Amino acid sequence: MKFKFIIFLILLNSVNLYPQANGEIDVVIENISTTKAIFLYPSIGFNSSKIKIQGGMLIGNEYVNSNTILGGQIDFMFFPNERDIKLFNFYFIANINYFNNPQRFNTSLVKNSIYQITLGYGFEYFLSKSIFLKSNIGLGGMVEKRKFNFDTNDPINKYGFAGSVSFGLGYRL
Amino acid sequence: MKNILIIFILLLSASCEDFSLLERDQENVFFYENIIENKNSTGNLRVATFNINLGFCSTCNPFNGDIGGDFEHLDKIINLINSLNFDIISLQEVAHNYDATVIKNQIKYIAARTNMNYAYGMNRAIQTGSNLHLSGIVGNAVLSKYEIVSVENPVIRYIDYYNQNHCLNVRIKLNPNKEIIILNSHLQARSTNEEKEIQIRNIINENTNSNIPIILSGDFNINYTPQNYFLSLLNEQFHNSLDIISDSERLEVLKNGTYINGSTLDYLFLSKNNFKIYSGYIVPLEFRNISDHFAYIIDISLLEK
Repeated sequence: MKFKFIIFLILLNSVNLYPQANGEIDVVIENISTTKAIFLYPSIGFNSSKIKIQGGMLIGNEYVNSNTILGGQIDFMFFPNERDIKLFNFYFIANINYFNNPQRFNTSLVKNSIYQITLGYGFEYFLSKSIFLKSNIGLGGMVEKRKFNFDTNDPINKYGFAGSVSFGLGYRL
Repeated sequence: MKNILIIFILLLSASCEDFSLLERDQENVFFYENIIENKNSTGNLRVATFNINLGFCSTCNPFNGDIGGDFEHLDKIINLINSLNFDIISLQEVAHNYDATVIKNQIKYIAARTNMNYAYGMNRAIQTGSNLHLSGIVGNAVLSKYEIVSVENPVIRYIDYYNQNHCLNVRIKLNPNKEIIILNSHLQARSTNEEKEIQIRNIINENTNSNIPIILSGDFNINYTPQNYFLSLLNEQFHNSLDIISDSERLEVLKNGTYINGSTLDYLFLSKNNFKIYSGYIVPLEFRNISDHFAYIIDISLLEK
């Protein structure tokens, strides 16, 4: 319940930002599922011709232990056909995200810092002049850097596969 | 427009449940079932501990993608249990929903054919470096001729979902007047000294306040030596059965070892002042080709108080 309330507040705050520029700035709220966690991702994007750079916070839950985690993400999007509010807009996307997830058990502490890079593609669809839906999917790699407060043979760096699926709603200022 | 916005708020709110990609969200899997009618024990027990290598053969690697854990192999384990008439047996490396085993719920299969109640607790989720698409759980189990009253499966070491250790805690009612606790754990192989100590101390901390007789069993991945530091951490609360059986029996166990390379890694500890031990021994020779471990067995009785 608490989590749903936070979602609602963030969405409400995002759509309260009234337009100041000529459609060059977007605010977006997305739901992202990655290999490690599920996030809410409120972001701001800056458009320039065929390129958009977007960034924001990640607020979510780790899958396995349901720990609440915070992080950040930056996306680089390339629209080969430019953006058009009347059509589906296809884009390529590269994103980098970071979040950390400390795991405590009695006196043992493992600090996990996770970096994911994914490459993929997605679509935007304008419902009106200003509001659009977006969705993308990406695959890539992940590195998990760990710090332990006890002696262990477990590796400090763990490498893995990263995937990302997201779905969101944006508002063009 | 307002309606669309409202719909999307609702959609986003609802969509934040279980939207996992590639990772399972099982945190701690444990369960039990009493499948036979309640029996009453006189207090004399034959108890064993046995690491079954996920139902794979003694020289097989359960994690390289080969298929194992089939009917034929599990039937060998069943035959061992039925032949030796155990009252309680602790098993380690029991697979559950593992992609590379033919039988997915191994403990249920074994319990049904040995006519014993069962409890299971995960040790860790499986992720193998060479076969990332294989998934499943490997854990600890207890089979009992007597009623299982309750089960817990606390963590004793945690690094991540695929690298953690638990201690299965099974409360068993031997008869209307007597209950005991079976602890079954599989300590991390090739761990550091600090990790060994962390795991053992966490087992102790989970059970310091128990007034019920306890049998601590498992694959400790610590080779037996007299006055071994890590094993001696348990001395305040437990007797190591190896230390209190006769010298000749101890020598016989240590000569064979409980692991295929000759090490003694598997133990049965008894809480102090609760049990009398009659003998301790390795499983007969004809049953030593089933797994890379050999079952270690003790015959004991519960002391009247």
